[in-house]
Order: sequence, then structure tokens, then C-alpha cells
Amino acid sequence: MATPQDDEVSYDVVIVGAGFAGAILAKQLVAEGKSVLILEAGADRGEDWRTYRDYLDQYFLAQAKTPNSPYPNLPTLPSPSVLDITAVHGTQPDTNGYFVQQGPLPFGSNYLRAYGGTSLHWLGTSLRMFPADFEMRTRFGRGVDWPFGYQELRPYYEQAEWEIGVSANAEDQTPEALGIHVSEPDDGKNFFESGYDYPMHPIPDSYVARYIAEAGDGTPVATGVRSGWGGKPEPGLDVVDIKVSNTPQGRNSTPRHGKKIMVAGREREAFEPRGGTGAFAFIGQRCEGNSSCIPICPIQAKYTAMKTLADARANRTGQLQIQTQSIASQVETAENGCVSGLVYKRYPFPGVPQYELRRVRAEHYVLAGGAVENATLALASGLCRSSQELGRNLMDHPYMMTWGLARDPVGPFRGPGSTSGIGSFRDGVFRNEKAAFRLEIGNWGWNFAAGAPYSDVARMVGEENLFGRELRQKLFHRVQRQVRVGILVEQLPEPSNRVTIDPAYRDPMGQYRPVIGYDVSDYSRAGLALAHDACIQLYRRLGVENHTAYNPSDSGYFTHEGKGYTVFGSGHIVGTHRIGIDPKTSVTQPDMRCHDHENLWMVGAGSMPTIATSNPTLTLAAMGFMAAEAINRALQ
Amino acid sequence: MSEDRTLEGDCRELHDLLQKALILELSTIPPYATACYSIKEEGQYDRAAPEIVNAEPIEVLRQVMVEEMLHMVLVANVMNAIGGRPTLNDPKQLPHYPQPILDGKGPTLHLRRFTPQQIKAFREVERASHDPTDAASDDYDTIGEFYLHTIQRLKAACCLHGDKAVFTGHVDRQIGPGDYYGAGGKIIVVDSLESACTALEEILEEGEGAHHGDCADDGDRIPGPDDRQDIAHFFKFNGILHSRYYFAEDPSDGPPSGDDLAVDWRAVWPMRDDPKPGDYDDNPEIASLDARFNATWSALLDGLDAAFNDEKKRLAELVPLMYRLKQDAQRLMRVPLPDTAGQTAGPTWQYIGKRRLGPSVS
Amino acid sequence: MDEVADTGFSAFIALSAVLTGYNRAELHATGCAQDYWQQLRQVTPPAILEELLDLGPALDAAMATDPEAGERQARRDVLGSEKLGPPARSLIQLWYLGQWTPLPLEWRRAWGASRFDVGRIISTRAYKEGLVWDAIGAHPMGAKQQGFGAWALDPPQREG
Repeated sequence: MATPQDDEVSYDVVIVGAGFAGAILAKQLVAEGKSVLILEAGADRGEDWRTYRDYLDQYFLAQAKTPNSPYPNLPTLPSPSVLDITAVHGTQPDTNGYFVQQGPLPFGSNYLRAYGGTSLHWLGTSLRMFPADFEMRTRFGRGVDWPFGYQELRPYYEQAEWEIGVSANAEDQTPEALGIHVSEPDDGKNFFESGYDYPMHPIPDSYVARYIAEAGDGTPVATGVRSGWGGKPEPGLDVVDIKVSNTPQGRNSTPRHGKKIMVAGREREAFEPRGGTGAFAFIGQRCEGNSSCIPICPIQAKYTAMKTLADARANRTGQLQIQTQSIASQVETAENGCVSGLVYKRYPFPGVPQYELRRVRAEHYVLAGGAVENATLALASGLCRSSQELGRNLMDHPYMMTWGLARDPVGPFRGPGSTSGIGSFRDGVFRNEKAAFRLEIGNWGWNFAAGAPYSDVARMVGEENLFGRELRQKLFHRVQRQVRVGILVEQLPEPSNRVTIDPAYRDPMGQYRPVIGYDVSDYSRAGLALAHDACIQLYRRLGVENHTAYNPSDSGYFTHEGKGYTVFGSGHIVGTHRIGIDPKTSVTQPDMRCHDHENLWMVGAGSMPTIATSNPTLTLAAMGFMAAEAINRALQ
Repeated sequence: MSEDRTLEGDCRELHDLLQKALILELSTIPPYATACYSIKEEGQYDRAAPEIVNAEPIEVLRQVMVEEMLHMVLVANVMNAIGGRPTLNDPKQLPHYPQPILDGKGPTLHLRRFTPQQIKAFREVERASHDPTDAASDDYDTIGEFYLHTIQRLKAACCLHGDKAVFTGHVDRQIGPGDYYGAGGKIIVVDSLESACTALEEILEEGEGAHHGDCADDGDRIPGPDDRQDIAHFFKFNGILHSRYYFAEDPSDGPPSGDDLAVDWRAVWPMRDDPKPGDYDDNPEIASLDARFNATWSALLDGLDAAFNDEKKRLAELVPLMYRLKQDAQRLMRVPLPDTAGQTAGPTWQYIGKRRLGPSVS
Repeated sequence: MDEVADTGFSAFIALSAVLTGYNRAELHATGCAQDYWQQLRQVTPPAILEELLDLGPALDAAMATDPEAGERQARRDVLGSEKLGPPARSLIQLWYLGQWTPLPLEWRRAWGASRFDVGRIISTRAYKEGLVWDAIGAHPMGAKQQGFGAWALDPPQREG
């Protein structure tokens, strides 16, 4: 390795990654007068409206409109893509894409290495975890407990909801309102601080969600048995009724006026929604129903980390430098374990595998590049060896779909990807035996499930030999009735689900590629099977013609108790550097400072000890606020 | 003279003035929208020359239109506050183009595609020009003078009869920030002379500038972390003509000093000027596209009229209608007219009677 | 306008109207007609193109007088033809999706391959103007937004 050239300037804090976590950290540190450098591996900045419109054009012209399709994908800076996922056979890893997949199941999730990170193509779902989710070991004998509980995280959730700009009603989001049979009776108490509410009114429920709720609410689902009950369902406890509820979303709706909201003890004025930038600052103050949150919101009504980064840069209390085209390559440590410098590769020409090796120094260093990149970089640097946990306990929400045709037109392909879901199964005593899950009501017909409406046109023209008026009519009647429900099931932390590195696998810049071993355990499979049954019962009640099909040739195909299912990744990548009290069983302290390295912090969804049933963004954002407080304290 | 003035007579005069203001604001929307929708929305990857991108003028014109909509809401709020009845679907009052404004004393509005001449015409509509004597009498010949005159009449009526006697409207008829939200400036609930003046001044500021002639700003904040001010319509149009953005601080008598504003006057559909329904008599297919457009336009006017008169919930259906209007207009503008030198059709903006359109497909 | 005077182009529009179920004005209203005409000319050998275009106006006229007879004729002469069927099906998909669907391998072997016969979205406008979005009562994903809360309104109605 060449000798790195030292940067002239040093900083209070260097942050790796300009995504959700890095943006919040930077904003909070700069607000306290700190000097901060963000190193971002990606090459350009979507906060410039021209660049953002480039993304949009690229999306329009992409034949496969995958989550990453609008964004740069440099050969020298690969991002994992859903197009690369194939079944893993035998002992030979699948090296098609950026990930080296060891299986037995492929890890189907992706993320984006770009300015703004995966926030550019997240859906916007902003759910809090529940009290039970922090005590999985104590309550269910599964997984691990967190070093703190829901109530300790609650004020940070408020900050995160304000930062992201979440649209929802607090009274709709308590465990009770969601129809959950909580595993402990007190879980619903003080779920929200009194007087707290979300910064914006809810995003209206889609027509299809109301259609499902109208006939589907109250559908009873037997969730299984409690141990010691002789294998019989316990009436009234184990039977959970389906209840459709509005989902809190990080997209702009109508701000709450005339009501002071206390956010983490601070009174806030009405929220000011923001959308586009520059010449387009007046668009996107409200969601306009572009039906493309994933991969790209054309008007930026959906939150992205770029908004927080813009705030951080505008705040002159401290100083923020954001350096793109800079790939963090090596974290260097001194004898005492402290980090002494961060070596990075700065490339002048995007896509060309040439770079300048540089070193930057700071008081504190933060890895905020996402669970996989954080683990890869830390492993490559030989860090965090007290425990054997670095890179392990990788989790996702295995994502399964069911789909069918409703009896009536339901108005699909309108609005946000999902406005509503079914949260009734997010906790319950059944978690002793099987995973909890959430159902997500899709608004885009069979788009995710079967490539509609393209596939409908191809089939009708190519196979059903339709044309002209008849084609036009049949398309309407078929597609208008498309219903799709997504299932997101929790995974437990398991040591064998892990990110490792192998000198045999490097990218064109010489960086380690993540090597991933992954499977879905029986616990999660049992949850998926129950969720699948719940969907089928719902469809029966609604008279929806079930078209769900899982094919043994699907890359994410598996069997459970004799039945076959297919899962995908949901991009909720969690758990490679979990927090904990004991340095033997966790990578970082509860405040996300590494046990082994006093001035190194690892922040992001990788810090989460369990994933539960909430999309991890809101929790990682809340933990970002928590970590920022700790780093600010450490710098005093 | 003041003895001659009854409360009833003053209120009727104010209702008439405000109704005129409402129709005035409405009259600007078809020309602005026609110009805006005639611009080709090209992607940067579609052509070798990246300058063929007209995203910016489209956005500037859109901002102006959204603010004109806001102005209609503000005028309706003032009118409702003083017991008037805003009317938007009376065929006798609706504009027909070419349409002179301000009783023929102002410029004449045309339905034309996006051209420098048309943007210059728009700029004239929004030009600040205040002759205090004109405003004091009813001899106004600019929109600014017209509003100043209205404000003066309102103040005089309140002075003579007392605020309470004038502001008799029910608060339920007011449209507030929770009912109407989608940027475009401040929505003001009107319940007093003070709030009425604030509302009418907001219209003036957004049209011609907060300082009535000093610099380009309109007193509205641009959303975002930079705490910058927006500029008035006059300067928005002028910026397009200069291919450059104004800063709020730019003096009104100087050129803009901001970033480039890329305008490609060629990337425009060649719509025939002032399209009329008779133009499509021989072409039922085009006539049917125009009928569809007019049905949407009529539904929008009916919806606005209802929303201003006790059916505030109807506002929710208006945004989808406005977007549909845009699609319907753009479709027409791409259809070549037979027997013309390459001109295309355009929307005729006819009110065709009461309708309530649900979402539908052709 | 040259393009209107161009009989080949107007025959193309007539054929497209038969195949798509959208009338001429509606097809022009996409703003993509010229680009699609260009695409079809690039991938179809001249003789086959001529055959297709010869059928267009006649079919369109037949459809206007007796739609069912017109449809039977279109199936017999165009969609059921080994030679004309594949380009016609690609043309339907071009209008509906804004995307060229490559011709089947056997067809290319029999009638000749073109270097333009590759799957691609013709332009950003072509994507947004795909007829499928109108046909299904929706809007192209990522464009032609319907406005806040439109997704909560009743589904669109369709005559027929």
C-alpha cells in the first residue's frame, strides 16, 4: 500500500457516510459548534436540482426500474442491486453482484452508496418499535434484550420524527389503536408523551386500504398456542383480529397548525415542510401522489438525508465539510486502541479506478455507512475484537408478497407505495414460538409482485392476442382490481447470519467486498407461514381471487412444513455491530461508542440488537440523536 | 357626501369590486397556464443538446399560477368576511379570450404559446404602477391601482359604518391554512379590517413586489434552510426574459443578478393563437379532446365556487382536477391541426355548465 | 405540416389506431407519433413496412363502419400473419409502454434483423405517454402526478 498523504486540516469529528445517520450526527454536532468532515464514497450530489433531475430521467429511461436504477452505479463503486440476486447453490458462493453470497439463502437487500445514501429510495415508513421489542430475551427467551428500554428511547423518537417530518396521528399509533394484544399489559402506557403529536397530519389512507379495511377488519386469525396450553389455541388471547391502520410516513402532508407540540421537552412551532431545492424549492411541500417513492420521489416530498445535510451546512455555529468521491479504506489505531487516523481513497474521475490515498485525523471518528459497509470497513481494519460479534447478527425483514384480484376496481397505481398496513401482529404472546410481523397494503397493484402493468400488456398482447378496444378495456378491468399485501417478518440475531471479508474478493478500487452468509430461521419461517395464512383468510373474506404463486426457481424460495414460499429482501439491514453492556457480547456501548476504541463510534441500523417489526429507519435516526449527544459530551 | 352612503350601498359596491377582483385573478390563469403547458418537457437524455430543457420556465410559471390561485382564495375570504358571495361559474362573468382586463383600461389577455412576446404581455399585467389619484378615484388602469382602490373603499366603509357593521360574514366560510395547503404564500383568515388589508396587500406584494418598486422581493419565505425571500410575479416573468433569476435584493429597476435560468424558446408546441371551439368543427376527434378539457375546466370552476360557498371539503378534489386540466391541455397542444402550417390545437377554456367529475378515464 | 402530408405517416397513424384502440387525435396527443414512426421504419424491412401501411387505412375505415368485421380482418391479415404479426405486436407495445419490444428470433431469421431492434424506452416522454397508464386509469409512475389525496378518491370509472 502506498503511503497516504496527510490532510492539512483536522476535525473534531470525521463521519463516514452521508446517509440517514451521518446527516443527523453532522447536524447535531455542528449545532454545538463542532467542526465536522463527512467522507462520502459516492460521486455526486442530488441536492443540486439538475443532478436530481438527471436521476429522474435515468429512472424514466431504465427498463428495469429497480430501487437503485435512478442513481449512479459506478463500476468502481458498486452498490448491491436486486438484479444481482440469484439462488446460491452448494458451497460455491454467488459472486454476480457486489455482494459475495454464501447462502444458503441469498441476502436480497440492497442499499445505495451515494450522497444521501439509501434515504434516496426508502419508502418513508416511520414506525417506532414497541416496548416488547427491547426485551425479547426476557419476555420470549429469544434473541437478546437491549441495554435500554422503549421509554429511554422515546424522547429521541420524538426528535427523529420531527427531523424526518413524519405524518401521522399519535392516537392512531398506540399498540391498542393498532389492535395488538400486547405481551405485557403496561406496554401501551405512556407510549406517547402527553401532549406530543406528529409534526404533520396523516397521509390519507388509500382507497384500496379502505376497501380492505371495510370488509377485512375483524377477520380473526389464530396466532397459535402459548406453551403449556396443550397445543390448543387460548381463546381471546391467541386469536387476533385484523385491523387496518394508517402508517406513519416520512412524507409531507399538512403541518399541524395551532397546536404547540413538545418535542423532547422543547416546544416547537408548526413544522415547515420542504421539498425540492434551488429553483424547485416551491415544489414538494406536500406529497402529490407520484407513485414512485421507491425508487425516486420526483418532487422530494419524501424525506431524504439531503434535507438534514442542507440544514447542517447552513448552520454556522460549527463547520461542516462534505467531501464526496472519498472512500474510507482503513481505520488506523494506536497501541492504546484509540483511532489515530482514517485512510481514504479520493478518486478524481468517477468510474475510473485511480485514486489518491489520503489520511485525515480527528478527535473522534464515526462509521455511519450502513450496517454492511460499517462491518466491512471495521473488519478490514481489524477493529473490535473483544467480542466475536462484529459483522454477525445481520438481520433484515424477509419480505414476502401475496396478491390477488379484487371483485371491484380499487384504484391502484395512485399515491405513495403504501399508506396503510395491518399492525395487529406486531407483538403478542405468540412470539415465544414464531416471529411477529406487519402487513403492508400496497398501492401499486402487482407492480412489485409481478411487474404490472408492463407484464399485463406483454401477456395480453403476446399471449392473449388482444389488441385495440378490447385490449384497452381488458387492461382496465384486470389492473384496476389488482391487490397486493406485503409481509415483513422479524428475524432474530443469529451469529451465522453475518458479513465477513475475504482477500479473494475485492472491488476495482481494491476495497473488500462484503461476503455474506444468510438464512431465514424456522422462527421467522413460522411467522411468514402465519402471515401468509392471515392474508389468505383476509382474501377469502374480501372475495379476492388469490393469484399468489411461489416458484421453486425463485432465488429466495424456501420451504416450511412442506409448503413453499419466496422471500425478498426489504432493504432493512440491521445488526452487524450491536450495542450492549458486555464487551464480550456486543460491539459498541449503549451510546454506540466502540467497546475497544475510545474515540470510535459506529452508528446506524447496525447498532440495533434486534429488528422487531418496524422499518429500522426511525429507530436508527433516534439512535443517531442519542449518539450525537454522547459524542458532543465526549468532546467537552 | 358621506351622508349619502348607506351601509347597504357600500357593501354592494365592495362586493362588486371584490367579485371583479376574483374574476380578474381567474382571468390570468388560462393565459398563464396555456403558455406554461405549451412548453415541451424534455428529458436531458432525450437529445444530444442538453440545453433543450425547459424545466425552469415551467416551474416559474407554475409558481405564478399557484399564487394566482391563492389570490382567488384570499379575495374570496375577504368577500365572505363582509357577507358577499364569491361567484366563479356565472357564464356572463367568465373570461373569453382575447379578454381585455380592468374594464378595457388594462392590457388584453390572449391564449398563446410560450413566446417572448407573451411573457412580455404577462409582465405588463403585473407591472407596478401607482398613481395615487387613479387609485383614489375609480380611474385605475393597473391591477395594483385597482387593489389600492378596493382597500381604500373598504377602509372608508369601515370608517363610516364601523368595522362590525361591515365584517358580518360567518367564520365557517373562511378558508384557512388547514383547508388550503400547497405552498404559494400565506393563507390569511379574514375577520377584520386589519386582516382584510393584510390579505389584499399580500396579493399586491406577490404580484408586483413587497416594496412597490424598490426591489424584487415579495415578502414570502422560500422553504429551506437558507432563509431567502421569494420574488414578485413581475420579476419572475422578467427573469424568464433575461434567462436569469432575480435575487430578492435585486433593485427593481435593474437586471436580475442570480443564476442562469435556462430557457429554450424553440422547445414549445406550436399551438395556434387564441383557439376557439369553432376551430374544431371539422374534426370531431380534436373536438372531443377539447370537450374533455372543457369538462375538466368547468368542474374546476364549479368546485371552486362550491368551496368558496360553504363546501370547503370540495377543495380536496380540486388539486387532482388542476393536474388533470394540465394533462388535457397538453394532449391538445400536441395534435397537429389539418390545413395549417404545422400549428397544433389548443384548449379553448369554455365553461360548459355545471358538472361534477369523478376521476375517470377516456 | 410535412408529416401530415406524408402518406406513409398517416397510414402509420391509421394502423396504430386500429391496433391500439385509440383514435388518431389521441395518438398524436402523446407527442410521440413521429418517434414511433421512426422506430418502426428502422426495424422493419421496407417491403414489410409497405405491406403493413397498405393495410392500415383500409382497416381503419373498416373499423369505422363495422368494428367487429374490422377486428376480424385485422386478426386475419395482420395479427395472424407470421410476417406482419410480430412487428404489429411490438408496435402495440411501443404505444402502450413507450418501449420497443425486440422481434422474436425466428422472425428475424426469416425476415431480417435490424440493429435498432433492441429493447429500449424511446424517450422520457415516451415513458410518460405510454397508453397503458391511461388505459388502466392511472398515471405513469413518477410523472403526471394526480395531487395530494387523489389516491383516496374513488377509483376511476370507465365507460364500457
